[in-house]
Amino acid sequence: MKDNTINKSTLIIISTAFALLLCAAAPATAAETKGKSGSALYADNCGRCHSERYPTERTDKHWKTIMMHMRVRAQLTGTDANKILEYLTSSN
Amino acid sequence: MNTGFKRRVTPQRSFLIAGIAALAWTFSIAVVAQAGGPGVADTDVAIDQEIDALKTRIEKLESERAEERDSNRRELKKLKDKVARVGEGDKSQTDFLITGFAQTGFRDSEGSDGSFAFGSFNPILLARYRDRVLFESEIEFEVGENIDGVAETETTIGYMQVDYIVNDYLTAIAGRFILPLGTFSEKTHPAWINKMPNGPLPYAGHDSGLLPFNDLGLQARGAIPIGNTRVTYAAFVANGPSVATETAPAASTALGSAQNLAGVGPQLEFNSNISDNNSDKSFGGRLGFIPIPGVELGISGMKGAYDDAGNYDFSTLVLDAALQHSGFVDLRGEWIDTNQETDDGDIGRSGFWVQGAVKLGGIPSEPFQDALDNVPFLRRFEPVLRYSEINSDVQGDDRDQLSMGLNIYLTNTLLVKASYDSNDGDDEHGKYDAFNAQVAYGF
Ligand code: HEC
Repeated sequence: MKDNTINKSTLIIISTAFALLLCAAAPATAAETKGKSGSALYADNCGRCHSERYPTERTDKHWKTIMMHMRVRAQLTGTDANKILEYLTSSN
Repeated sequence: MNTGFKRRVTPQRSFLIAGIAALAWTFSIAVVAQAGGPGVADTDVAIDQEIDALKTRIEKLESERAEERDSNRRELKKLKDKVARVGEGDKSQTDFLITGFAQTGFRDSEGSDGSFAFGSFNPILLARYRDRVLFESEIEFEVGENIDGVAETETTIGYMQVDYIVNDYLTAIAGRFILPLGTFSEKTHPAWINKMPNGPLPYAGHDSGLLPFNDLGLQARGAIPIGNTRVTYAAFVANGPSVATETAPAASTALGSAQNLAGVGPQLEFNSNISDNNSDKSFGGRLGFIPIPGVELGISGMKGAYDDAGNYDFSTLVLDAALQHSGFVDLRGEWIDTNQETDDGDIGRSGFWVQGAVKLGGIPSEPFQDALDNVPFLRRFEPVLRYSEINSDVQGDDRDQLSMGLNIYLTNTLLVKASYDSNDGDDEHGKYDAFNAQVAYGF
């Protein structure tokens, strides 16, 4: 039987690499994100999992509900989700 | 009654005044003439012309202003309507909508007759209270076959959960949710999103495979922005998998019949987590990292006892990666490792899949797009290639599969998919080719 268990050292190496990558990338761009517009955030986030959904597909009220659904599913911050909602409801 | 003034204006004096005025007039004419200026007639014409020019200018300004006023009025009306609509929504504070997806297909594999597959209809119900609470549920209607080959209507709850938005960075969830293990289950399994008619081998359909698809419990999830990057997290506690009983059909268990082999420990059951069979809960979660838009890396796992006595653990570690480029390239994959403790030692099962897809219409090459001008329909095409593999300590369980697919997007969420799977495995049952076709719609 070959050993297929989760190797502890593998896990530690992967987690460390992950943490290092995180630290390396984070400070470089610290100032930018807050200024991103709703349409830029829509472009960055809304095509990551599925094809683009157009603002004209829904009414304002339904977009509010769907953006709550997507905020939870796609793990968006509240600020980003609200900006995207503003973009969707001003372009439908 | 004589005033001094009247007395002074004598006829002689008025002659004198008239004389001086006449002189002054002559003098002024002479000065103007000497300065070379236009005559009275000329001045009048110039003034008239100037007045005309001013008039037309005023008229033009007036009409411009009227136009501006009209367009402002139109804008204002639009805004007013919009505010009224938003106001209505806010007044009711709640919303309910049905969204979801549906698919139907055809499957033909070596050694069996081709059949039209029934497909499934998966409405998703969303009920929102203000901007704090969301009840969400996916219900799957499907027609399956029972052991005797007789059609049986199946209704499955994919998830049924309540989300409570705690703050910008944290959402609390209770209920039956899709487990945040890897990304396929949570993020790409719906038929209109999945770029192949079937799931990759480690999933082998969305409720059987190496990993449990959903579970009952509590979850905390959200995102922490770090500069332009984002770290996402999800942590859960849930009932966890259990041991299959006689009544639980093998088809709905991990890896189906492949695990139902004597001497390889108790059969894991991922779908009977409605009430926990032991006091041990399963714990797990996922950490995701989005270093730049279009790239996501994730690490996830879960661990917990599955047997009634709570002595043996089922645990898993999953790594996932995804890359999108300019909306036309989509690369993603997962590596999955699982471990099941048993009386006779540990049983390890692992697997991975990688997939690449390119939307022809998005390729940013001018000559290529010019060539597509001849057959614009080709812009809707998306060829896909996927390789998946599962490896197991259990003899005869190893499988691999190469799938070639083609998607045609009729709209952004209505697509026709076709794929050809070439399967290979340890035993003869694992070696076969299959053709799948599917029409999928996200609504
Ligand atoms: C993390 C992956 C992911 C991201 C990022 C994402 N979505 Fe989704 N989206 C999904 C999934 C999965 C579904 C299907 C839900 C289901 O089947 O349970 C979906 C469904 C939808 C639907 C159908 C209605 C619904 O609520 O199910 C719309 C519309 C939508 N997404 C819009 C968006 C918009 C707009 C964005 C950008 C903020 C976005 N999505 C970002 C995964 C994602």
